[in-house]
Amino acid sequence: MTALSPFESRTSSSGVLRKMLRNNPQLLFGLLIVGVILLMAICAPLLTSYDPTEQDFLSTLQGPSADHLLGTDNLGRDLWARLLYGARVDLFLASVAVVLPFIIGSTIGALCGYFGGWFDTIVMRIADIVVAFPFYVLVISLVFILGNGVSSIIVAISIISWVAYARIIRAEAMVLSATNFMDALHVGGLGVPRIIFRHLMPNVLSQAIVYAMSDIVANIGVIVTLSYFGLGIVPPTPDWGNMMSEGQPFFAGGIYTLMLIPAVAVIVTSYGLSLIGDGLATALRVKR
Amino acid sequence: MMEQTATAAALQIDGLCVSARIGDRSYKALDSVALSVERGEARGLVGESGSGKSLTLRAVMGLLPPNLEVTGGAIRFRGQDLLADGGKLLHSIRGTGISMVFQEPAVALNPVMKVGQQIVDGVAWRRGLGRRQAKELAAELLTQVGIKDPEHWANAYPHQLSGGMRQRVMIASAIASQPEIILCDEPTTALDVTIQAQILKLFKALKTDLGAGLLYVTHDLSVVAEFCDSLTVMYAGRTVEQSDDLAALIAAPAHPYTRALLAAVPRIRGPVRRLRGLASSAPPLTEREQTVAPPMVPIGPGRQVAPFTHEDERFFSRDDEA
Amino acid sequence: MTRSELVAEGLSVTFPGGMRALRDVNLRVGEREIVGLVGESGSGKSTLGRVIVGLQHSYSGTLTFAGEALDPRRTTKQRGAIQMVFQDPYASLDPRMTVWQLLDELLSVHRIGSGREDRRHRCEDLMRRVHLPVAMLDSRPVGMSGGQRQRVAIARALAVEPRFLVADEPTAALDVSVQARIINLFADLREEMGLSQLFISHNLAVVRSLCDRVAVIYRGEIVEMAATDAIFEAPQHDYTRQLLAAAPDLP
Repeated sequence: MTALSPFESRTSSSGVLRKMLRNNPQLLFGLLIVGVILLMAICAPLLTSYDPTEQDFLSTLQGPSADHLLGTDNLGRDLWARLLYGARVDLFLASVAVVLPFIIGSTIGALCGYFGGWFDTIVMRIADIVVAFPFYVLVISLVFILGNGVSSIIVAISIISWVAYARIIRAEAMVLSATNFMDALHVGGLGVPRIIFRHLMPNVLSQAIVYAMSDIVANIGVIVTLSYFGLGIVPPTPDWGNMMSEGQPFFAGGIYTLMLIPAVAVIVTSYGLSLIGDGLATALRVKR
Repeated sequence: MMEQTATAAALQIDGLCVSARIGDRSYKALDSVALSVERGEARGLVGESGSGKSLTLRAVMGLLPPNLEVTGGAIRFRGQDLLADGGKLLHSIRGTGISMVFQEPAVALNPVMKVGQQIVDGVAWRRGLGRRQAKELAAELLTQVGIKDPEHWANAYPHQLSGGMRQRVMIASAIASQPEIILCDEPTTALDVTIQAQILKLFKALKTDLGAGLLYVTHDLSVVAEFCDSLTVMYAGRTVEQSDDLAALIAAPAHPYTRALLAAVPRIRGPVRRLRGLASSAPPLTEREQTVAPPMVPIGPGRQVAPFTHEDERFFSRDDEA
Repeated sequence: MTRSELVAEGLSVTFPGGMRALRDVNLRVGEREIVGLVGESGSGKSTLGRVIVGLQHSYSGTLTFAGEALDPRRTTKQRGAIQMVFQDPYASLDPRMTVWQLLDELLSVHRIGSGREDRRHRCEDLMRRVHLPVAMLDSRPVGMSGGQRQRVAIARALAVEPRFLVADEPTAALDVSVQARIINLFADLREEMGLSQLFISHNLAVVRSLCDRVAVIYRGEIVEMAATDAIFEAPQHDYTRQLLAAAPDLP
């Protein structure tokens, strides 16, 4: 192994990845936590033999046992199974609800940064209007209008959170525009779409990617909150939010696990994603 | 004022070694650097990027980045070793006995503080000056660096000034404590030619008026030739040639590297000739010789050169012959 | 006098807000000629360069290149004919792309070369022309020195086979020792390829060692234009004299 030096520039890409992970414990731990949770969600049928929606009135509100790893809820459903299948729903939804605004927001932001002028002014005023409303008020009213369910959640979140991506990308694109970067591409005779999508966007996306990680965390919060209020995932489909809201009445009665277990799952997942976000921020810092 | 030893130079750097830790190995970033600056002297310190010229200034100011450390030699201010007592002396000298002017005044100045206040901030506190006295001192300093209507400009913020004025403000804050040594790190690189000429003239005047010693770092020999008395040339972390008489060194450079450096400078006067570029600059840190640099040997009064065995052509680039 | 390659007549540029960056500028650059454009920051020298390469669309006056009038909006072919090298070699290259990708993209867009093999050969020739090791084609600008990056930027400008080059302070960010080689490279490009150039700089000594004629620009106006020797030995305008007096030089 040779000494790593800031003067060395050429390393194999796998070497770069290994070096990145070794110098970046945040990213490593974040990926580990989220990786394990994802794996558990994907392999849910292998990790439990219970159906998360199957009720068993002979064994309600049981404590952890060999049969039921985390016990059962008031309808006798296996908590471990509900946790795993709930992860599937929440993580999938949170990720999808990031992809859409990421793509829409980044593209709009790049166009604003590139063209400027009236297009930029109009789009940014619309963005101002969207963020003028309190976030949760807007989400809840949108879901209320669109109706419960997965697709309304995604649409509601997308309508609001593209703004952040657009603003991030626009600002970065404007910084690049102020240098000779764009001039050099124009003089080269490259077309506008190529300049925007091949050169401008790839060079400014890193900030948006970092933000996307914290956005997934926020989305999990939104989905769980909506479900908790009965506006999101409709029971009996398991979801960490409706698990919490269903467990709440028993909290006062001294049965804490029903509410605590999904809450801890939300916290651990969010922590892992935040670590990935911070780690990526370090790793993606553009070297010039 | 402290008692001055008759023989000691205001600033004397002896065999200064600085190591860089990269991974688990350490490399020599500065190797046996030696130079001195007297009061009232302006010494040019010239070399390419990576030659260690700016690093030398940082070492004197105790501003080395965390992966770099001084591993040998001495930095003496009025005969006292600044490194001897774990940096305590250095701390008390920094900003009072020795001050520094940076390349980018736009970055070095605090954007949310009025320039007048900024110039005298440290001094006013140290001398226990009142508001009125501090204001008067600021105006006096601004006048000294050639800013007209100082009362007006003392109330301005850095962004309201032109690049040349900002550098004047930087210089005013550097001379506020009446230092004996002013370190200059390429202070005119970002300026226009006419502004640069004015700033160089200002340095020349300050040297005489304050009796301060200047150590002026740049890659451009023609800039130091304008106003420096003496010259030190650095290459790859080592001092390779120096002279107490700048003109003599430029007229008859001894070291092949100095000759190569001179051949690369375009001229305003004299016959137009094709320039000679230098071979790719100094080798990176990790590829440098790890032997101890042999000390420079005297070759005349006030004149030293590092021993060299390689032939001249090593430093010239090959592609210019093609 | 050689045939005119580039002729600018009565060029004026007024920025939004009323700042007049150029006032009635007339400039002629002959075939195989290198003309220096000297001025300080804010003089309009970069704006003139941007008008000539087509980056500044709103101007009044006329531009003629190789006998053909240039419109503010140019065809790809017209863009290719006039190329530019920028001051900052760190900003002007896409840091994610290898040198090969940077050059190949331009060749593809301008339909130069037949097939990948041929384009690769052309890129290797470009590297040799700017005195960079051919092996560097597969590395990225990150980690290169300032001088190397500027050579890559020059290779990129040459890739589309231009007839005219605008160089905007191409050595201002470089060490004097590196600057010498870049200046020699520009001189060689004229000798070997007959490339006409407008060399924009604030550095009089650099302009003297490279250019045939020099135009001095001050507050958007060309105040003096003459053969290089005449400018340096018998400057006519006060501002030229001022610049000369300010320029540092070796004894």
